[in-house]
Amino acid sequence: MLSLLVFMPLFFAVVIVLISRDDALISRYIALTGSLLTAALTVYLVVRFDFHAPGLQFEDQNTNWLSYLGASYHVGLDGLSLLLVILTVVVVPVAILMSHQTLTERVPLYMSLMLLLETSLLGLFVSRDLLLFYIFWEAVLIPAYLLIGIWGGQRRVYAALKYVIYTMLGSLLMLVGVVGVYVYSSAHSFDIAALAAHPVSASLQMPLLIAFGLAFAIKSALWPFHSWVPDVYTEAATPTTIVLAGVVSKMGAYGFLRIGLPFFPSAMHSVQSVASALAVVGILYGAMLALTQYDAKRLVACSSISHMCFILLGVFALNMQGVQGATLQMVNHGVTTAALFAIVAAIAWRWGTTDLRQLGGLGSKALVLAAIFMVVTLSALGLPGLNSFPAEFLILLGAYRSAGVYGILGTLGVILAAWYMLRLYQDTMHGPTIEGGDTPAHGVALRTNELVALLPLVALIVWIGIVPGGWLQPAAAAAQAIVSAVGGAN
Amino acid sequence: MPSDTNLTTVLPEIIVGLTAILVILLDLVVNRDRRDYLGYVSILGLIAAGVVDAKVWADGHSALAAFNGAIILDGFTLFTNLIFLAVGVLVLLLSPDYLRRENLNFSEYYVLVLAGIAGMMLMGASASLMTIFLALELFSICLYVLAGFARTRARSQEAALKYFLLSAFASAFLLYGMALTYGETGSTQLSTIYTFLLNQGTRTDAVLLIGMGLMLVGLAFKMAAVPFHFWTPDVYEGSPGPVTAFMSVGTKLAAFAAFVRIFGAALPALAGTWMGVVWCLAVLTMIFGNVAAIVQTNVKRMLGYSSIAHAGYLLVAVASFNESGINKGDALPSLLFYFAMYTFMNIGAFAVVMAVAQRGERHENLSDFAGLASRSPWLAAAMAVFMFSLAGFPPTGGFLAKLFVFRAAVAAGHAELAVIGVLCSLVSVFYYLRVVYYMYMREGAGDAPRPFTPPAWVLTLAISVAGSVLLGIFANPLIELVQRSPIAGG
Repeated sequence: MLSLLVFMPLFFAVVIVLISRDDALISRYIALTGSLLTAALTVYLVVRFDFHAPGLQFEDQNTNWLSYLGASYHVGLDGLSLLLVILTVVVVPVAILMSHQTLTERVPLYMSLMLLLETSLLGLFVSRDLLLFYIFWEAVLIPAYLLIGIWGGQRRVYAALKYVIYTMLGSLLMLVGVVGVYVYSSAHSFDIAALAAHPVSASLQMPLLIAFGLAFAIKSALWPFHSWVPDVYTEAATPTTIVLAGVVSKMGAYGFLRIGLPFFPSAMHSVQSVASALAVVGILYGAMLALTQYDAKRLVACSSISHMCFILLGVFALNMQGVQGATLQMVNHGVTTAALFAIVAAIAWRWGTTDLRQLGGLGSKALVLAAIFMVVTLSALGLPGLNSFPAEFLILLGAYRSAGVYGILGTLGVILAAWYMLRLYQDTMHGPTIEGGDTPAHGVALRTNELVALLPLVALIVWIGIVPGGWLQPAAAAAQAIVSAVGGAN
Repeated sequence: MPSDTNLTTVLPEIIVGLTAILVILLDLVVNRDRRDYLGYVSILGLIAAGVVDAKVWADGHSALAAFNGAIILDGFTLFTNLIFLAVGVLVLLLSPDYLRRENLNFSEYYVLVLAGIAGMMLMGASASLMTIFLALELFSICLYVLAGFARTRARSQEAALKYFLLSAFASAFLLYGMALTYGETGSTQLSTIYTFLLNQGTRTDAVLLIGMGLMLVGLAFKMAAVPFHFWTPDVYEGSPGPVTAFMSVGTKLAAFAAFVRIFGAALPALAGTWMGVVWCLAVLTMIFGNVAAIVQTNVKRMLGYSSIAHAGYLLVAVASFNESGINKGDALPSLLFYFAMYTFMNIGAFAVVMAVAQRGERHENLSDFAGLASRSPWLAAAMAVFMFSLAGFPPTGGFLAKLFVFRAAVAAGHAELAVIGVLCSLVSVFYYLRVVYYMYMREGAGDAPRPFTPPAWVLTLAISVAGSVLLGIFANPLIELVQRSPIAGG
């Protein structure tokens, strides 16, 4: 069942390659169908998921695969994986829908690469074998490189290469770490549960944590490994950015939670203060970067750095509140950022620019867009009642409990977020209307595909904000396991 | 007549030799423009030899010595035979159309290739220094002529001359080293040398060391290890396409096979000395091969440097041999697995270069690959698969091969080799992805010629892609095969 979920997008990607020839519309429909079917299957899994059972559910294992190397094909779902799977299957259809207006060249190739990316992400989030985890982690790179480099802005090729080289540096070192964990652990297997139960000796934990941690840090844009984010998110085409910022950036934080904390508990404690400090610096630095941006897309990209470091702050708190908050915030940030990039793209498509100095007063013309934008903005800055508040509150509480100063500095980040998000909103929606503000290309009203993409995101934002408990609970059992593995406080 | 004339041990080589003779005879009667059929007859002969090899293997013969100890039939022999035959089949699939395109339709080509394959197979089966040298000369002479087969092109003549002169020197080194070793140990039989060295303890004689060193130099030349690699880029660039593909895999594996036989089985007692040398060779080769490939604009030359880099990774496997016995540990299986994968990736890559290069091999630059994805999507996709596989991206076979080798290195205590290996892989990502960049992200010149893809080449590309991808995902059959390829008496 779980394998069906993971490989369904791949199947549809193959269908697109074989059937669509060069027809863009057919490939869009097949891609949308495939991603929605995957989402439907996920809904089914959610309904059948037992939120009170602590272990893995829907497990699928094939011990024959690569048994000589000690690896097996092992996938399973726990609360943490479930939340990230939900995020993936929501964000990918949104991206496919938003590609309708702006992506017009070589569409079949784009759609198949997007679905290939979805398979790799789903596989990563349900992997229970370290080698399988690594394979899916790296498998994300091939479609990502092509997606960033072929469609997008002027400097997209530079951005794509920067992304690949930077990420690969981390992940190739992670490969040495993967092999090292296997060789030096008494478990003699790549199985994640077995390796967590038999951690390597304390002296080896630090170098191995560095090998893994570098890869995770680069992927999740922990300061100072964040410099790829503004270029990549800005230059890539909007649908690509939606998936990259929404889901792919969570890979690093997930890696810390799934592997970093359980496998290297003592090393994690040793680096906790340094890592938390870096996270706080990232929050503030990302926020200040966002404050200085004149390009809306780049502003959102820099805000993404800030929010990702928020998530990492929660992870490095090594306690129940921090980890739970981080888990929920991963979903929140994915949803909110996807919506933000979609809105910026909608504005750019109509008024031809993302430059804040040339936009203004659009709120009075595009009422629905303005309303949706307002909700998303408030979500991004953490207004109580919307999705980010409970998660950020938990993260700050966890950070404060582990070391007071980080909680305090992190809260500064919330204030800065309010500043740059409201500035983004004001500079686009309020103020004097620009020339041609009431006669944009393609009309003011939101198209069907944009509405279908944005409204579910808004619904999620409100739902998670009003009933966060229901969303925190899936991850509670997993967070409990992770925190006790690392020996943190409850 | 020696007492142990067992033709079964050399049955595959005999079949290949008989096919060569058959081709010579058929050439007398076959029409000038039907010479292609001779190529297909050769392929049939190779397949027949492969079937015989598989049958002998399945019959469960173990460690059969023959011809007064000149030949040995063990798992290693049977596996390397299969690889050489596979190389031969792929190369001969490419050859007839190539020869016709270049107006070089001479049947001597097929005879030379077949004789070369027989020589390489003999190398894998040798149990005596004399046999090794005999086999080496057999396939080297064939390759000298094959390298210069494009008689009208100066670069081909230059390649042949360079290869011949430098190779003659290397053979002289090898022979002199063998003579010194014979002088010291009293026999050319590898098994006798092994016993002699075991019994004589740790006394390391200067003459023996010199003999070892000279043999190492001779073999390192054929392996294209740095600093004995200087012939490789020019010879690869100048030789006709299929010959380059043949050389890049065939000679390398033959040289490694000889190296494994001599140093792995015969001289483990002296391992303390030569392991360090192999370590240095591995590091130098990996670093130099990858760094030098970055600046190449001729794709064929770049692939030449990349094959030097891959020789470096193979040397890492050799450096991980267990000092107590060559069959212990993972090093030998990982070496053989890497070779199988390397065959598919490399021959496929050269096939694509030949397809794009057109008659006269004039269009081999990166700029000729520009926009290939729009001109021939499937060819570009195949090349992308080969590039990703050579760079070591999961889920391709190239990744699994590198993982296998690096795991063996870490388990043997050479974690530093694994780290250097992954860093060099990172460097290689740059130049492999550059080809993908040109194909997908650049516009081609409007008058770029259509790539030349006759059905036989499509078949070769399909086999290579299938090997690179499917063997990367469903690697178990191949892994089982390499596990059953021990060296006798090790």
